[in-house]
Amino acid sequence: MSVLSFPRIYMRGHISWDPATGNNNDYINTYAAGAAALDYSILEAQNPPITPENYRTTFRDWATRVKYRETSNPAFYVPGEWNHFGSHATSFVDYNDKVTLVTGGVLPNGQPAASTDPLLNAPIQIEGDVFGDAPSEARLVDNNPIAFWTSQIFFKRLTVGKGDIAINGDCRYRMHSRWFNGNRNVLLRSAGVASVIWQTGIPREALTITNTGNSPLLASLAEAMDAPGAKGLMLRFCSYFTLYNQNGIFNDFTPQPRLALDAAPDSPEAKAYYEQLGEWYRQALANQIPLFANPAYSAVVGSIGVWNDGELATAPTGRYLVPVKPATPLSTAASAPALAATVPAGIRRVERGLAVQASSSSSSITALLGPAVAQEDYSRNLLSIDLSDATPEATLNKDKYDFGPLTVGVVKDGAFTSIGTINYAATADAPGYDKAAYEASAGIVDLPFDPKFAELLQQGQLVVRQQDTDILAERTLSADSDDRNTYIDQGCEEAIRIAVYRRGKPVEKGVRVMVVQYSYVNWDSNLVGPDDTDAPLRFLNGEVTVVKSTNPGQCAQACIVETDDTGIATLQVQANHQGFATCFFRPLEPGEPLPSPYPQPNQNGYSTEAPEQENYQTSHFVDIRVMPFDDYKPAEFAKLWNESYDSAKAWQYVYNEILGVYDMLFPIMLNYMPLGERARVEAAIGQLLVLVQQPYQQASTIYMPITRDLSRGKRKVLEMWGSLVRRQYPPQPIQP
Amino acid sequence: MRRGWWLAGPLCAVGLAFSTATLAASDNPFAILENSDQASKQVASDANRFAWDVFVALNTPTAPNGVLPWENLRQTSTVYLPNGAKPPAWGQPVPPPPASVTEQAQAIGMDMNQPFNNLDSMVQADGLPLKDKWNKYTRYQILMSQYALDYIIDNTLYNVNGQQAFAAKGVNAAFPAPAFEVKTSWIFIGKDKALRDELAAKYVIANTYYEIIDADGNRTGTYDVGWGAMTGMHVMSKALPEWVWMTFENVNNPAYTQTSLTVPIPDNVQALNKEYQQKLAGSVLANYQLDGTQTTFNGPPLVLANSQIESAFQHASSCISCHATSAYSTQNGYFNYALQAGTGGITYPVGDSILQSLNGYTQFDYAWSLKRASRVPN
Repeated sequence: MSVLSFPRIYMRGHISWDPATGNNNDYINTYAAGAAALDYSILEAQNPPITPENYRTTFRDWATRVKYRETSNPAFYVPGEWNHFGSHATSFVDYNDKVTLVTGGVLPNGQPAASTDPLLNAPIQIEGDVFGDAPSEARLVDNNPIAFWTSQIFFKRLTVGKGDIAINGDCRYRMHSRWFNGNRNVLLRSAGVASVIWQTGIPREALTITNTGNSPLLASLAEAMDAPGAKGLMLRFCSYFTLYNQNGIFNDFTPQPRLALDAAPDSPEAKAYYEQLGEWYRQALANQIPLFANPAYSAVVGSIGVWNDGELATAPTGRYLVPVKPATPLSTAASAPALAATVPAGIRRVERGLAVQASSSSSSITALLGPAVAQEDYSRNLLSIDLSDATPEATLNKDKYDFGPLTVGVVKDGAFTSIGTINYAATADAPGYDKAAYEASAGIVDLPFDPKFAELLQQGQLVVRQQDTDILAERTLSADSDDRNTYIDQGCEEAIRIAVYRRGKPVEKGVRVMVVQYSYVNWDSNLVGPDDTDAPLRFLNGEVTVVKSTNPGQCAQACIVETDDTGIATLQVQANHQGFATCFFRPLEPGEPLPSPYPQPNQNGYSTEAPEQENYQTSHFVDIRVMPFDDYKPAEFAKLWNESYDSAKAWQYVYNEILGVYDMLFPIMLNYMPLGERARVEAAIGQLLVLVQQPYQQASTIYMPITRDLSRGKRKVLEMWGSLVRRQYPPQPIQP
Repeated sequence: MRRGWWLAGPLCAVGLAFSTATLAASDNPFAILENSDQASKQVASDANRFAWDVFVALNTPTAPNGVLPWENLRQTSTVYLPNGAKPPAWGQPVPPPPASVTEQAQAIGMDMNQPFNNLDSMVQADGLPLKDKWNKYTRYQILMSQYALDYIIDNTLYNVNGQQAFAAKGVNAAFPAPAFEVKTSWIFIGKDKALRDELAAKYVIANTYYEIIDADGNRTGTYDVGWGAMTGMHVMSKALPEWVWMTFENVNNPAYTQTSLTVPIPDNVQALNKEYQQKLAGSVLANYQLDGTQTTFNGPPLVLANSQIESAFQHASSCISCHATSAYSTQNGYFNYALQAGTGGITYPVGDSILQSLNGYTQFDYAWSLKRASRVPN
């Protein structure tokens, strides 16, 4: 089932990303993420130094001034980066002719929805919690702001259509970026090179379907969601082809910064861009122009279908195909110009750890595909493969690379049997993967197969070949978790549920899953060893053991947990030290020896040189932010107050210990609650106390702070201070 | 600028034409509100017309000096004094504006015969700011009538200590029926005479100033002085037990501030606006509109908002419901009317269900201005 089954609804359009970039810039680490504080080890080294004593008057100007990085990847930049006034808002684009819409669908009988179906052209949107009297926007938030693999979309409601044709669904599971494919769009800048998959499942009871307009497509979806085994609705989409500096194109915002795609990071053009951007930032901070957003925009294709029992809400479930060998574009393909002809010099570079693996000359261009998932329907003799994250674009017109016909087959006992072909351009008897086909069916190809292959398909390994080269191959055992990005407070425990599948079906009881932990400090990752007392997490269950790393002489701590009779393995962890952990897990076949983890994950994704190395593209992992260990702060604040009854001292503590970092890194708050002005924060204390409460951290799109890095200790201090404000600072002792 | 002379003429005529109550007692321009028996009857008859008559009365000079009647009300800056000091009674002299204010005013040629309005607040009802066209924060001011001031002084509600003691008794406050308060919102023009002249054709202009508060909340003793353009006016009258809630705003606000009214004005109110605006033609008051009048919790109208004072939650704004939460608990302090919406949102009270949340609080009879009080130092 899932979106790979029928009925299926297709969507296409764009999505906007408006993250504040001051806390996750690629050049200079102003943010000590583990402690959720300004990083004075960096800031005090600036000229002039930015110190705890002067940051309120020095940081903002410094963050808008052009700097130059002289190291391995020279670049001009401003510390506030490309979107200093970001609000973390994200939404599907609905601007002039750039509208995100339902574009098609497939009925339960496998036939395309009629072009007259009233659901077609219905707008799609995600929105956030109510702020005052209207929905706020959904939010893009990184679990680890330094990382590129921990993004989340917090939203409150999904809406498709309106009026007499509408789906309204309340969020139960926020979305997480998965299958980070850094080889996707090598022509683009920064994270534009990458694509990711997003997915959410909405239970039937949280859905309202209105179909008085009589859409057969919507009626069939509603009926399918009510069938036995169905849980609700699934939305999955791929975001790709991300463009920056699009004001005036995807919106009507001003100013409209521009930087040519072929401008090298250390070019005069880049310098001029940042000088202008910084000048606008300073003008806005001086109230000469409004604070302005400069969002990025990704193209989107997606599908809506039925979410069924046994399927994760937020991760694709099915037969998991991962890249194994790069594919080679046909050099003569007229429809896909050769890379070298279109990629300007200097555009291939490593940025934020993204490595473009395409080589520099057209004659030797190869490209690894991204992961895919497949599902077979033996009642229809149809194999559906979601290639939405897999096939790269070759041009700025989003034309796909032409790898020629791709053969889908099964390997059993070492023998390959072809069961069908996917053409570049779709034909009457074969699906396609070119731009037109990709956009029409959200990257999903439906491949008919001869019933005689059914048994083979059930027993063998799925592969996708270019000529005689396997470019995608099924990983027999796969695993994933809806607890993809988790936050744990000091001293707290959390259960991480890992669903394990064999060829897309939940495994039996007793399948082992090996978990290893990597700890992250800024941009460095470290495999946690058995004696690492500073590791973010402690494993509380399973068999905790020691395995050898691939690095001679290095050992790693591993935890072996086993699946229950539903195919779920539960990992119990406890916060051990503030910071960031990514736990990679590998399901193991019976008797399979424990594998050796690598000292660091491969940030570039799957590598043919080290296919077993942990990576953020094809590996299975969860991210856990262990919140700052600030439980001592409430007692510290109470002592300060009880010894002074001085409201000024209380404010100084609240500002310098809690609010100051947000005041510096998230200037958009000047439009709402200027965090550096005591009188304004006190005036808005009612709002603040509602918006910082702990339950809001888990789901609210207007939680303060949006970045969700407020520790339990700091929250308690804010509540204590808020109580003083509400009572006008009574000269009475308070308790922590 | 002697705004009084050009303003007074046509408005006096209009006022006389509209309502005998408005200007008949010319020695008391507040009679329309303070003659509470008659006021309550007028409200029962036509609350919106009553509101317009009040607005005209409050904004129509009754003396040659051109002072607007509402400017003779007591500004809260002279009621809720630093350190919770007892304010002067009605009729007693209040401290004049600081010397630096008058010096700056004289330097730019402001009319020193006009009152100076202390725009001592910079946040809207939800505590959030609003900016004008020039990216400067809009500002606010609350004023009260003699009856309101007397009640506050008589019950020692002018400081937090007195409010706590009042709340400890557990008896709800009850202002007298003639009491009323006014809240005004402003574009602070400052010293730009050209801008003043531009806005003077569209807005009520007044002498204004405010003390600059530093980032740590400290008074600096320095003042920003200049002209202000009145963007909005709330009037709350105790003529009814649950007060009468009237709100006006300038029709030019969308062009000069970063917000606009999104709650539709009912047809009957629009018709009344047209009637009054036509009769006020030639006066800046013709550029104001009544957004609505509330007399009951559950309406109509259920919601009532002023774009300048409740910009971010207009469709969740109810004057009467929000002010009903003016209440104090000796344990929790002032009631928090920022409410949780659903599982992750924030909203504000609408309707009468909020009254159930006030258990444990002593109600201050809808008067949120009390929140401006200071604490008496030890």
